[in-house]
Amino acid sequence: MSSGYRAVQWSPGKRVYDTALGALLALYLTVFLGVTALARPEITIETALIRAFGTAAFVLLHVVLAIGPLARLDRRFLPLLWNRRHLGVTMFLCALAHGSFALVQFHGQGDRNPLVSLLASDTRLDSLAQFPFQPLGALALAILFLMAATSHDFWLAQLTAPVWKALHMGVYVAYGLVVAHVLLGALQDERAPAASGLLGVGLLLVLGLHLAAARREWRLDATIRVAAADGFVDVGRVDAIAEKRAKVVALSGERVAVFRYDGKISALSNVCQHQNGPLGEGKIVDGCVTCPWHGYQYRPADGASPAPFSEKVPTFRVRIVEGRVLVDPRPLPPGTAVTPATFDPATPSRDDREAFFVGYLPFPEPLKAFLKLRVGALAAALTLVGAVLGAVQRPLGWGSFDYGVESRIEGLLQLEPIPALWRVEESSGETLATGEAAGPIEVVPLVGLGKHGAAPEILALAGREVKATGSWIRRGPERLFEIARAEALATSRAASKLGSAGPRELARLRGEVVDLKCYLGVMKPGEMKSHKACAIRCLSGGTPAGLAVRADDGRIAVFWLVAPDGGGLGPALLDVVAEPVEVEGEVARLGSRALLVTDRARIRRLATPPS
Amino acid sequence: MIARLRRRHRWTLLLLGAALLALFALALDARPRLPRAERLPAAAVAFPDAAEHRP
Repeated sequence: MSSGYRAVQWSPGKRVYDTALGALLALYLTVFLGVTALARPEITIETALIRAFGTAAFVLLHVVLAIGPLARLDRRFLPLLWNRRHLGVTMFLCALAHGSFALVQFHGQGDRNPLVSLLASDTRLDSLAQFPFQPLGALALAILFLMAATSHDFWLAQLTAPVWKALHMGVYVAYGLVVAHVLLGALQDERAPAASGLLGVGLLLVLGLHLAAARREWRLDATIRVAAADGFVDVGRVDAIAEKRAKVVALSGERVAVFRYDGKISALSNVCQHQNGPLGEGKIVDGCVTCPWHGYQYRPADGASPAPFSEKVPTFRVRIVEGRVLVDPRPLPPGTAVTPATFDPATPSRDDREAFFVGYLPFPEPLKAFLKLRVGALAAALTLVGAVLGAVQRPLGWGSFDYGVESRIEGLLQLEPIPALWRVEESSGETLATGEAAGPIEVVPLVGLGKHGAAPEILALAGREVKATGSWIRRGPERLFEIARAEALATSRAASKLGSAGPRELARLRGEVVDLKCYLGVMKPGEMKSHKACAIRCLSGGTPAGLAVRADDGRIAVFWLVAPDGGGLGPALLDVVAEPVEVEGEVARLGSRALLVTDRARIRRLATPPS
Repeated sequence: MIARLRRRHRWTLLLLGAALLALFALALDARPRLPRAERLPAAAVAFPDAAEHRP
């Protein structure tokens, strides 16, 4: 409790809590990243970080949601509730790191504002499997932001407790959105049963704990007590209440905490004004009813907090008849003084050996061993989850991108059928300058920086021999060049003598439409649902489209998608990219590349998974 | 009021839980399976995509 503004009310307990939280988070991230590096060395660091922070936030969200019902079921978990807001803010920061990295990686450097791209790139609302999952995560992040930003008693006072509480119940909406984000995003691609199994376990854990805690509450509320003629209700014997503790009863639908202390009985509302904590599960400390959640205090006789605090709760009239406590179920206005009912202080009381924790008091020794064991179990669980999630990630392909490594190549710049440099293959030992297609031709497709095709000023050199500077992107024998600069060579000559596409073969192929820059090595993942928004941006920005086909023998083949009249098909394929499709067209070789000549009308979504 | 709120929250949470379990089953069932080709055209440039073949 504090009567003035303090950013964080530090206490030794909070420091221990935060240290343990930091250590657990570091443990999880280390295990996940370490196992990822060992099991999937092809995954790039940015993808590994996106996944590490995303899964860490999701796991921490489960812990946040489990603490509440756990504390309802066993009060020894209450110390974990005390500083839960630090846990929640940490979870939000992990989610923010995940979202920020993903926004930059999948939506940045494109032809649209990344935030617009996030919300508007993918618009397949008619398919569950293709439903846009990133806006769901963004909405969850917005809710978590509001919660994290208001996770302070300053905001609780400004917003008032009911509004603040309603806002923070938004965590359940955020949880639902995050579950949908994961189910419709990562788990559409990751087929390992362990990944979906862990989500199922987490979901059942959260639901099960909430149902178990709610069942306890239902039982309490379902107890029917009959009022006497004067309206007072018998709530039980004095000796059934532990000294300085309370018995909680439901009267007229509201819960009342009946406290016994120093030969007196007082009754007040069970609902703390701070965050609706259960006052009846608290204890009388320094003469005041003390809430078990955050230590807010009220005088038992009038339900008012001691000065300088101003919180007040409703009180109830009480009396004792033949050792039994009778309570008037009609609440008095908050802060109304009621004379306590008295009894012989020597009257036996219910045994109470339960340690009572309040953050600003010394930590009860019996709770230390209990919590150490539970936190140790949590550390073991985080290690296991991090290791499993790191290990079961699907292979992301062995493409590579020489990011930051500049290479120089020469060739003839052609725009048809796709922007490319045509050059004699290096192995032939010849150059275009010494002969006319004397050796085999390599067609090196060109892409621009970021999520763009080659820049217009470079394409303006079409038909001339150029010296290009940029970086290689490779996957198997396929390679393309991210061209940064180009200049025409003095020996430039026409392209027509260098050859054209070979004979065409009719084909019907099943595979996935991909943007070839990402698929061949720039992005991990560069295919499937989790990469879909990025692929849309890339095709929209002018990078070439391809059809990735997997053969029964495990090999992959890439076909460069080309329109019948020449030119790339990219912008026409935004609605089918990253989806399983069947394409009809004509396959032909162009130098070292395989082309698939088709159009949008001959590309059909595979609506149902083939058997 | 608190009791009313609590009852409303209970039903809301129950509905949310049921909806999430249903989504869990439906979303996993809807996952697309990328087909594999039995035969590639002669002009295809096919290659094994494994660590030992990385460029």
